Amino acid sequence: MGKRYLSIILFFSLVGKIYASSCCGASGSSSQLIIGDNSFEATLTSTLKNNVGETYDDGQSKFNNKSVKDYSYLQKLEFKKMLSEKFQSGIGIGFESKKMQKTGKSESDQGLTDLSASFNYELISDNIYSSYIPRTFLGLRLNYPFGKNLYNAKKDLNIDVRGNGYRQIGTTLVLLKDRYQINFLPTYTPKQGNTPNFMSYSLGGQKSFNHNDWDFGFGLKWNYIENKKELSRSIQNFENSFFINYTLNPNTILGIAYNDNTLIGKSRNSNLARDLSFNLTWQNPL
Amino acid sequence: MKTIILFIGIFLLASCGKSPLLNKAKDSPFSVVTSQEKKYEFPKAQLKFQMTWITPPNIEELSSLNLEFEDAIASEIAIESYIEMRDHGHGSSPIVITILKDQKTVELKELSFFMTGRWTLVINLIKNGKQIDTWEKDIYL
Repeated sequence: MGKRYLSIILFFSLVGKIYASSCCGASGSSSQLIIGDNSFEATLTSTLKNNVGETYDDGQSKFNNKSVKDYSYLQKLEFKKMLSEKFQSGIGIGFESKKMQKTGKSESDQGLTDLSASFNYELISDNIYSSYIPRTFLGLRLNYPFGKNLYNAKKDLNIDVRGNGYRQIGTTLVLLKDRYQINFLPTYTPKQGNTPNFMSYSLGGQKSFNHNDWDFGFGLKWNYIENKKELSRSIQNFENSFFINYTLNPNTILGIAYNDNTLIGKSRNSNLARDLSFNLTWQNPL
Repeated sequence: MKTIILFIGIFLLASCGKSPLLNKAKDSPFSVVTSQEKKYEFPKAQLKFQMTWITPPNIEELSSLNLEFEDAIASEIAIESYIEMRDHGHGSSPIVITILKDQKTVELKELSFFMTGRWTLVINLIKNGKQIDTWEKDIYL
């Protein structure tokens, strides 16, 4: 059994070529929550991302032609643990490989992305018998970058931009009811280097369904970064997601998800991207 | 079932506006960059020039252009130039600038327009380490 899981992890590690990510996407944050009855969860996620174009300030889009290559390959590891009946914490880190072919140049880069930490509290549990009051989590998120951001990138094509690239602090609000989930994640980026302070927001909803050992569903998330005073205009996009999870056994879940921000909603000054993720979660049920 | 339809409806309403797939720009939605440009001027230095693209802006290869001044540039004046995307807030790799011997022609090479959107080409005149004049032009890819 152990060899099967090891082979799955190795498969995820070797899938795909390595290209770069675009600069200007408003990427949403993660809530890093344990929602099920588990005391501990560890998740390995492998993501292949294809940046297919950009949008102008008026919302019109321009998709890259076939001669332009812009991919990234991200491996992310997350650990989440219940500290008490209502408190939980999480930590995560990623490693990204990038290679870009544009303007006749071919550039590559790889390295750690962001170190993220979260502390969450279950404000309202499922023990409250009400058709209207959702299960509610409140939390705090911290982000520390190992990659560059737009304003301190040093390499050609901004290829050394990885992850969010900023020190950030944010809050989390998650509402759950009958397999519906709503997340609101406002994030504050303080002044650092040449970048002024700014706010960004992520608001998303998700619906899941269950059939035996299968969970599947869809979601929509709005990502917004406010304009950075005289430095840049605001950025926004809407990201669709579709996911399927399979419970292999009480300790292990396999999942696949597809995210696409080209389908719905007005996108402004944002990259256009499609990505496919494979994840493996090991959990310790209570 | 009604709840699911309501949920989907809320999502679609929340994301009003044309999707990127349905709102593609037709060629360049703004000004068209051609290989022959009209005459421009540095207002303070009163230097007139014409800008000619050798390789027009595009994502597939590095671009280059020539500035041809009506009058020779004084030897103590240096040229500084860069391109940036002000809507996104980032720049690009350094431009290679060469002032030819006639002091009237300036070559700008290796302009890297590596994504679509609004770029701004900025050209500064520098004398004794100080900027004495500036000129800029928006370029849309």
